[in-house]
Amino acid sequence: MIVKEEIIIGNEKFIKQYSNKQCYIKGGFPEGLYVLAIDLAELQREYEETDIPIEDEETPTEDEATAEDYQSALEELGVNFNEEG
Amino acid sequence: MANNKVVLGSVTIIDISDTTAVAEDVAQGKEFYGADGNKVVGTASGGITPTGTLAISQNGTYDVTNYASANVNVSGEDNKVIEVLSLSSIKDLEAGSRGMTISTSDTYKYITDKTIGIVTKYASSLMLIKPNSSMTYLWAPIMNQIEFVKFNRYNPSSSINYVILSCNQLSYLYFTSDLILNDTQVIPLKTSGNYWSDFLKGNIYVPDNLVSSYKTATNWSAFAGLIKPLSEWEYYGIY
Repeated sequence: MIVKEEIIIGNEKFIKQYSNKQCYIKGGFPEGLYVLAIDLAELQREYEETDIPIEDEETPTEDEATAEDYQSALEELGVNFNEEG
Repeated sequence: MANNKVVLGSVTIIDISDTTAVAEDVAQGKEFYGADGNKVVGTASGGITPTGTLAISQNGTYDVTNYASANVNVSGEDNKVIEVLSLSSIKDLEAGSRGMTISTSDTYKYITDKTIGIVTKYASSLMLIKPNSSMTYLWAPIMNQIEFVKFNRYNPSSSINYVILSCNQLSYLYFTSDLILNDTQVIPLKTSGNYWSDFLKGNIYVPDNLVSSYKTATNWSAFAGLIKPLSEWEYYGIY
């Protein structure tokens, strides 16, 4: 089943869609397979759930690396987040 | 009446009927006979004689009409193309998968030209940083599509922060420099997380004719405020 959630980014209303069985959804623009799709609500885009499972590393889960994880990885490489670039 | 051919018996004595020159072909003031046998005065103005050498040290279009030669010597120091070298190397990166870190000493064989650090960590991600500096990096998770990614131009020695990226799809974005997408079609963005937008510090410049398409494209539309026409990029036409 495709899950639809309404989200607000800035002042715009968007619809976030994804499969609840961890499969790709098909549609969108450019048309193709998406892990997750966010579209302007006014576009009323519809997606079709596929049977193609999302690879583990692509699955948006709670275990997915967080922004802090990436910051940490960057800091290992010497990136200082307190400086202006 | 003018004559253009003289024939005596079966012998052609003079024949100028096949003359192809016209007044514009002949130097001004000089006389000749045209194909019809009439005398014609040339009207062509004199040309110039190219002299000297034009020294060219930057890319661009130059008028070399007045020069006999051009000496082109454009330094590539600031514009060297840096790209992933070979598919075999890229396969190695993919094999790393989640949690694997490639040491910076290993990375140089993947990225050439400058001391760019590259590390795979968390899925099939690709990360470029500017060594010995901060806040200049692009992080581009691309989900098994690494072989299609090519960083056309990245200048780690410059204070100009930008990355020109060409690929067939991206998973999501995380960058602090201007991102230049110069493909002729909208690149599919396969997913988008809300929190990533907190780390988008630059703008996303796309071909002018694709701005509206990107702003309504799946997942890209969440970043509509950052999407700008390439012609507005401050270095447009320079890089």
